[in-house]
Amino acid sequence: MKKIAAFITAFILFIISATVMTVSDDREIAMNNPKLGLWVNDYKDKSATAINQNLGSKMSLLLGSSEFHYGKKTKYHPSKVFANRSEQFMIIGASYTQSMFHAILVGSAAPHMQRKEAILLISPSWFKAKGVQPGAFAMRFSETEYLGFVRNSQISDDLKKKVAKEVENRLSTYKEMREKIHLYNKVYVYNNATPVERLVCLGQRVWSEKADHIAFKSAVNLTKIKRYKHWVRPKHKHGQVPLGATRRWEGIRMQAEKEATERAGDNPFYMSQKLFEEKVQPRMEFKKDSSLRDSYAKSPEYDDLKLFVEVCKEVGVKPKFIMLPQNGYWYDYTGFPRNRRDVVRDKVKIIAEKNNIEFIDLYDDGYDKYFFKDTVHPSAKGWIKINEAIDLLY
Amino acid sequence: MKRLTSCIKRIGRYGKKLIRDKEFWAYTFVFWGLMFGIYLYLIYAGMAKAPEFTYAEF
Repeated sequence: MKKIAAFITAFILFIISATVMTVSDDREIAMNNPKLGLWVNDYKDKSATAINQNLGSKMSLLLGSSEFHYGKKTKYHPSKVFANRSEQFMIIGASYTQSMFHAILVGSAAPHMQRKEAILLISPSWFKAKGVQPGAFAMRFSETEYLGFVRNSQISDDLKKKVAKEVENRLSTYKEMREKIHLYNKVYVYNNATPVERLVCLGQRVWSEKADHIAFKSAVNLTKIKRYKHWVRPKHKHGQVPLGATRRWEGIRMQAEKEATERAGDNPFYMSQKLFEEKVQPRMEFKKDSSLRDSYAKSPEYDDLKLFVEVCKEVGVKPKFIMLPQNGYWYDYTGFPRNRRDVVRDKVKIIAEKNNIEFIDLYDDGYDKYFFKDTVHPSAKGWIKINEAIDLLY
Repeated sequence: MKRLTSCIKRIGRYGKKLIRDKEFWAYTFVFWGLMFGIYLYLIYAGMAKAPEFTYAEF
């Protein structure tokens, strides 16, 4: 009898403590700090609640992919350049976060955005013939952002169905998530779920949102606590003007170019000597003329990009494109025919023109020496040019 | 009605006895710890379960 009473008491205490934890989590996740948007972190990228609750009134979405993880400790990275300026961004991007990921994200974040604007950094390497591999898509897929997307009443059923179909197909390697998504689709997209399925869906949704909270909070508290605290109280010496606080891009550009040139050494691709020796040189022999048959002419990514534009239109977000270059010297070495590479810029430009999207074309910088840290990612010099473009579009 | 009040009184008396019982609190703490541990495990296990993909840069 004593044990039964103890069990019942423990259960009541557990319910109380879990509820207190949930309520305190909800309060803490809204950090009321615009600098949080500049934090480059995978958990943030995947957390709908973290993004939605921290979108400030002047904040634009700054979307891209792996480039955000390059040079993020340098003063030329957008997270540093825009840290003390009036422009505010929610930076979201990691390797393989491409058009479909961003379409879902915009669909989920739009109701919480006050400044309805999304700047998309488009990399040519997104447009490979096979598109994003299912494994890569699964790695970056966010359950809570998808839930936000399918529950957004601004998005038409037709568009939801298109995205739902694609997502289920692409999660072929992640069966557990695919089953969950199938259930969400039945409830929120196709409206053909049974009452029991609706109940299970509700449980799943609450659980995933809870996990999302905790993942983000853990990332803030454990991984980046020092950096985050620094952002809350930025310390600048008296009289010191933070980089980017003025619009004198020219001075910063010269500084960045000097740094990128010094780091490049004497490799034939004008990239960081360290990365060249570590990553490129060991594979050079194997990579010579390895891309003779490659082409960016046909890729499912073009349809995904159109889908992204469609979602933006339906939720009232203004998309803006920046076309990034890739290291022309390296791609020449791999034998990737230039005309079959350049087609990507033309096709993206057509999508932008057809939809009246502001488009800044940096593609020709592919042959700008020292623009790249490696074969595709920007160096200090590259980042300053990209920052200028972002500044123009904001 | 009388039965109900006497039952409530009996539960109350038993409750008062339990509050002072160290063994009862020890069991309560162990059960609560187990429940909360399982709860946290399920949340963090879900977090760590995201699939991985080798990043092919070149």
